[in-house]
Amino acid sequence: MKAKQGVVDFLNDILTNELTAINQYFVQAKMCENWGYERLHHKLRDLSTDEMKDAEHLVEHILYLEGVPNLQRLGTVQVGENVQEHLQLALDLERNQVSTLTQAIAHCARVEDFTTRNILEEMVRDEEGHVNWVETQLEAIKQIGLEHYLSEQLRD
Amino acid sequence: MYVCLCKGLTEADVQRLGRLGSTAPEVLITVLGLDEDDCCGRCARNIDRLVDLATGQRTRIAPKPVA
Repeated sequence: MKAKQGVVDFLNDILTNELTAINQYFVQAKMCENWGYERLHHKLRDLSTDEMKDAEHLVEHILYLEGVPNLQRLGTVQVGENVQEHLQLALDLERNQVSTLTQAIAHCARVEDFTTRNILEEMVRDEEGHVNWVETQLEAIKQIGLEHYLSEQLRD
Repeated sequence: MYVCLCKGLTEADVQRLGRLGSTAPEVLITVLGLDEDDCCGRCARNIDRLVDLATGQRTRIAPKPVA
């Protein structure tokens, strides 16, 4: 099925963000594993996997719309030097993705591509869940202190 | 945070170079090796951020800590 004007470009922008997120979460997960934070390691690795599933869905949908999925392009993979920086950079990444998704959803409504819009709405719900998780972690650090928070991350 | 993954450079590395006098964009690119083949060049595209770090105009690139 041929895509409506601008839809594939938006899908590719979202795909770029997803591909960036897969790598960013993966390296953050592995750094946390290396530091002994098993709990965070698993959570971040799961987030990486979530983003990969989204990427798969996007690639399939771009092909369905007879577009070319751009797997070449990658955003800046932002890597922190400690857990707190990782979380703040994750928040940056997720907020950016939510904003791109919201614009894309509005565009799909304008050009009346409701199938794509539905897919993206499901995706933005997941991403908002991720934003919420990161915000909760940062708030917990604020309330109980970094050391207490980190000691809770040592065991899964 | 890491400012260049290809070279494994952190904010502190750039600040250290800045204190030693490397603050001009082209100097930073050469000294840090951002124009070499094993660097993808993405960090050099935002060289102004590194210049700000080196000159001390900003103390960090990473978002501000919440706690």
